[in-house]
Order: sequence, then C-alpha cells, then structure tokens
Amino acid sequence: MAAESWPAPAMALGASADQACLPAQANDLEALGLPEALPPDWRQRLLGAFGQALEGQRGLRQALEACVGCGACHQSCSFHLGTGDPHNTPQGRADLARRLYRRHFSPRARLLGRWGQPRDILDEDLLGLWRAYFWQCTLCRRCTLFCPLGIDTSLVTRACRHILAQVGQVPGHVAREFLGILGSGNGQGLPPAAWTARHQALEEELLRETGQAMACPVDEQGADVLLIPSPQEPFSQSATYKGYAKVFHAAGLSWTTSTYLNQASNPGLWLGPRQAALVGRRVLEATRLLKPRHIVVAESGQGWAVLRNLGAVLAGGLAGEKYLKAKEPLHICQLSSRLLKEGAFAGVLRPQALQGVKPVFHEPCQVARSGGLGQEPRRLLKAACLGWLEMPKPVGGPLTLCCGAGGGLNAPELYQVRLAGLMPLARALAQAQRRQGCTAVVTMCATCQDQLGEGLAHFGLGLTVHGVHEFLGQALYPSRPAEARP
Amino acid sequence: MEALGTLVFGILPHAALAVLLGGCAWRLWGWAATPEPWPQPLTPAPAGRAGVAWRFLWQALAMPALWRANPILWALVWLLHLCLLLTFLHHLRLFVQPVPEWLMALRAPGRLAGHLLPLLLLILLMRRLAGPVLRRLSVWEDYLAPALLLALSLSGLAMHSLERPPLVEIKALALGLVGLRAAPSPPAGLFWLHFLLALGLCCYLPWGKLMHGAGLWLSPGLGQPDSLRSRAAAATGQAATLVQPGPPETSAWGPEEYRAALKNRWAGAGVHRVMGARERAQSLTGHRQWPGPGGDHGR
Repeated sequence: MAAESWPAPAMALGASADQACLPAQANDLEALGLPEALPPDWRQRLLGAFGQALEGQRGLRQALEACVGCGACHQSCSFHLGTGDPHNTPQGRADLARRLYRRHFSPRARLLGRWGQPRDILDEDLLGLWRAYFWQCTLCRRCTLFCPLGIDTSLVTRACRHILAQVGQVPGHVAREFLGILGSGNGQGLPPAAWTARHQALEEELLRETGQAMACPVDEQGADVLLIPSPQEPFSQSATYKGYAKVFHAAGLSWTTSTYLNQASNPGLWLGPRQAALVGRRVLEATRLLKPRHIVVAESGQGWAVLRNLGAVLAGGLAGEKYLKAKEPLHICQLSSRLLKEGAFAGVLRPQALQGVKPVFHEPCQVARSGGLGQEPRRLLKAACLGWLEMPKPVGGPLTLCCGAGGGLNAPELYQVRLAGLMPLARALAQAQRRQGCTAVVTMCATCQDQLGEGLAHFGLGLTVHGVHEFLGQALYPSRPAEARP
Repeated sequence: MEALGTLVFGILPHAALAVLLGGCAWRLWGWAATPEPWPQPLTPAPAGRAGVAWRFLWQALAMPALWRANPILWALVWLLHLCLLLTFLHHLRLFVQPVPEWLMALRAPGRLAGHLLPLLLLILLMRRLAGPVLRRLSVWEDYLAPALLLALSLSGLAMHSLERPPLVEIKALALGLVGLRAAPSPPAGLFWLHFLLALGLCCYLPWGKLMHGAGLWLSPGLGQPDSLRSRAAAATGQAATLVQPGPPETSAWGPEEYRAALKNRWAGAGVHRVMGARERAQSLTGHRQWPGPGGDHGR
C-alpha cells in the first residue's frame, strides 16, 4: 500500500492513554532533589504548583483562559494525526490542565466556589491522563502556527511536566538522562575515557578514509571552537560528526569537545527551572574550564533552541567571559555558512562528490520554529549537494512536521507513540519520494536522525538519513573507496 | 409594573455596565500582570517592537493561522466578526444624537449583518456538534457563548418581524442611559427580552471565552521579538528571576573536582601539561587563525 494512502486512525478517546513512561526510581528522585512519588499531600502540592505556574507564566495562562476551542489546531498535531486520540490534540492536551483550572482557579471558581462543580476533579485518573499525554507531545510548536490566538502548547506541556515533577511524577529515562549529565557530562553516561578513545579512533578513521590528518580533540584549552555535540554523534552518527571535523580542518580552525559537557540538549527543562539551570550552567562551566574563542552547538534541535533562547536566562550571560569572541553560542550551520561565505572552503568544496544523491531537507522543528535559523543550512546544502529538495510547501519551512521523538520522548516504552508521531512526516516523505524521486533525507538534528533512521524503516521507506554536515564533509573530503585506502 | 420597569431599565443596565467594565479591567489587569519568564520567540520573529506590533495586527485582522488551518472556517469566522462589528455599529445609532452621517450610511449593511449573524452562529454550532473530535472536547461553555449570542440576535430579529419595535421609546431610553437621566420604560414586548439578554451578555462577557480577542495579545510566541538585545533583556528582566534558581549548590562533581580529575587523567596518560589547541593544530597542517564571526550571527 502506498504510504500516502495510509489510513488516518479513527477517532478514539483515550486510545493512547496507556502509553505512559515508566516512572523514576525513588533514589533517582532523591538525587534530583524532587519529592517522592505521590507524597500523602500530593493533591495540595500539585494544586499549589499549578497556581504558582498560573501566576508566573503568561503562556500557560493564555492557553487555559483565552482558547476559544475552535479546533483549528487539531489537524496540525502529529500525535493527533498518528493516534486519532482527541486528548492528543493541542486543545485536548490543554484541556487536561483546564479541568483543574476550571475547578480551582477560574474566575467562576473564585467567585462562586464549589457551587455547581464536581466535588473532586483531581484524582488518580486525571493524574494518569496527565502522566500519559504530557509525555506524548514533543513541544514542536507546530500548533502555534495554526492557532488564531497564537497559543503555544509547548508552554503548557512544559509547565505541566514541571508540576508533575513537584509530586514526584518523573519518567525514569528523563531522570537518568539528567543525572547522567551531572555525573559524566552526557545523558548516556559515557565516561570521559570512552569519549577520548572514540575520538582517537575517529582520527584514525578520518585519516584512512580521506588521507588527511584531521584532529578530533578532547578537553583542549584555548581552541577556536568548543563544540557541544549530542553524545550519540561520534558513535552512531559518526558521518555527520566527521563532517564537523572536516569543516574545522578545511577552515584551519582548532576545535575541541569537553567531557564535562558533551550533550547539547537539556533534559533538565522537562523537570523544572532548577534542573534546567543546572544543565544550562554546565555549558558556562565547561566554557570556563576550556576557555575557547567560540561556543558552537552541533546539529542538535532542542540543544540549540534552548541554549540560544534560554541559555542566558538559565546560566546568566557570557558577557563576563573575556576570551570569547562571540558573546552568544553559534550554531554549527551559522559557523560553516559564515566560513563558506568568507571563502574558507574555496578550492576544496566539490559538490560533484554527491552526484546522484537527491536528498529532501527535513528541517527540525526546534530549528525551524524556535531556532532563528533558516537560510544557513540551505546555503550549505546548496553548496554541498546539487540535487537537494525542499519538503512540499504545506509541511516545509516553519510548518515542518515533527519527527515524533524530541522533547524527552526517547524512552524505549514510547516506541509506539514515536511511530504514531512520525506517521504524518513519513507520509510526506513518501510523497516526496514518489513524486520528486528523492533518495535520502537530510536533517540537522541528532534526535531526528535517530528517529528517522529507526522509524522510516518501520514504514518501509527506503530512504537513507543524513546530516547537513555529513554532506558538507563529503563534498569537502570525500571518503576514498576501500581499495584506494592504505 | 412601574417598579419592575425601574429595575430593568434604571438599575440593571448600570449594574451590568459596571460588571462589564470592572470584569474586563480585572481580567486584563490579571493578564498584564502575569510575566512570561521563558523567552521563546516564534521563528521567523521580528527583531523589534514595531515588527511585533505588525505581527499582532496582521494576526488579529487577517487571521493567517486560521486560514492555514481551514479556509472555510476562516471565512465563517471572519464574516462572523464583521457581522458583530456591523451590528454593534447599527446599535450605536440609538445611543448618539445627532446621528453622524457615516452611522446612518451603515444602516443597510447593519440590517444585513443582523440577519446573517444567527445563520453564522448556527453553522458554527452545528460544526461543533458535527465534528467528532470537537464535540468530545467541547464543554458547556463552548455552547453557552454562541447560544447567548444566538438568542440575542434572534430576539432582535423577532422584535422587528413579529411586532413593531417602539423605536422612539428605545432611543429615549438609550439616550437616558448614556446621559444618566431617567427615562420611561418602553411598553412590554419582545424588546424586554432582547434588552435583558443584552444585559446578560454584558455580565457574562468578561468571565468567559468571549474575552479571547484580548487573549491574542498575550501570546508569548508572537509577542516576543528576537534579537541579541531582546534575549539579553529577557535574561536580566524581572521575569527571569522566576526561573533562575539561587546560587549553585555544591554538587559532588562540580567544575573544580572536574578540573582535578582532568589533570589526573592526562597525567595518567603521560601528559603533564594539557596541550594547547594552537600547539596541537600547528603539528597538523594549514592552521589559520579565524578572525571571528565578524557580524551579528544570531541577529
């Protein structure tokens, strides 16, 4: 069956209510500084946290008080399209919080009290719905572009996750990822020795593949660039990671990574402001340890959006760090695009190396709607790959579809949810494959790469998945065929 | 009857107006006083305040987001708001004396709008009932607001078609309300119903979803500019203190411990001084000092 005619799942309320994350262990909660799961006074705590969020977060308040319920957002949400569950519409998701708002915080509740209201709305059932559905949203913000009032569901989801954390309702994988960063600089718990060994191996691979001695340094002080990658990049996405090394080599820039922080994305943002700031501060601390001239974020969607928009809020500005030449972090695509414009790759860049590859560009949601980037990756693609394509217009540019895996949905138990969230994008990719003959997907987010690599195979699409810098690296220093290697 | 007339036309309108103005002020104040600590402008975002104002105006007047979602719904909603505006202006002629020329010119479109209004409201109500997802997610308030408007507009239309509205008395009453003078009650009829429903709308409007028009201007995504300066301002602004935790707590694995561990590790590998990037790069070929971004990358 052609992918375009995959049937949309029928409407079913509560269809994915049982797709919840496994809860965090008690000792993890303690290490996080959060209360135990469901303390005896959890109702009061939850309502207290809810009231505080309403007072202090205009975005949450707008979503709960200004929504007209017009339903314009329903078809914009990948998770609603993929599961058919009304709770998974942006309206339905906010409605889970609005139930509490109506009962306890609305003007009516304040003026009339309990009169005419259900006695106890906050029960274990509602809590179960919160635990499921606020972890079936990737905070991709596509719905914001379809809401006539500009309501931002990501602020609702984030606020409600913070409220859940206040009663110890935290997914185990997020707790472990967060503690992994505090312990070893990355959510996967890779120790510095493994990171360094892998980088030595990468240097050898690069030499063998391209014939060039390229550095993949770790923990070096005073480099031009401190690269903040995703922890899986040197391992499962090494082609993209080698692309970074090739760019730095071609431009003659020194670079390094830090084993104090080798993860760009910030899982603390799903737990609370304090936890978000602990990870955010680590960027500053890693910078102070290594004193680079620039902080550069690799191809990571959430990592870039958070560091760019919230970095200064969470960690304080970089103005005091005199050794930095740019007082804000740069995205690797901004850096490469700038280098390209300055002619740093002149004479080296050969787009002919990628002849025959016809990739379609999937712009990650965090970059397209929260990242302030647009032209930079396209400029790089134009220079590196002659045959690249844009996504069809209704799902291209800022309207890009979510891959279904970001926003802390990377738990094994959420596999079905991720597949459902990927379905609309897979359908659009299938269309691009059939109509425009694309042979690959190129994206600029480690999470998108993981998800597309896993999910497109499930949907039976024979598309390979690449990073923008993988292509740029191939155009700079193509891999030699195996028989030409020493 | 006399006493009832005084209550309905003398006391209740002023009370309803007080509720309307007081309620709107209370809600708007509450919204304006709520900060948004997380800066998260919606890309592509304007860099300055003027751009943000244009963006809001464009959203409010043209509703591009609704057009994106559903062009038919966009047409219905746009027409509905136009009809509400025309109906409002149509009623305004009762409250001013002398009536300006332009208001008189709007009488015919106003009458047309009055006839379209119940039709549009009915279509939107039907849409809410017909869509399975929308019906599941709707609560009684989603029906109350359009039902109130529907009752209001139908009673107005019935007043004109079933009986002859006492326009002279109504005008005297309206002018009396504006000028805070007592006026005789209009004779009993459908006008009383229409008038009471209008008072009901005034009392309900500030508390329910009919305030959504003001809610648009609260949108953090649309309302935040995106520039180096705006990001720096967000970080140092009052709102940021809501999400910034206190001084860093001493963790078992802070930067100082890390620095010590790093030195140990390099020493263990036989390196007694961490090689500087420049030295290392010079050992490779073609090192070049990058002059820096030399421009406002992030805008």
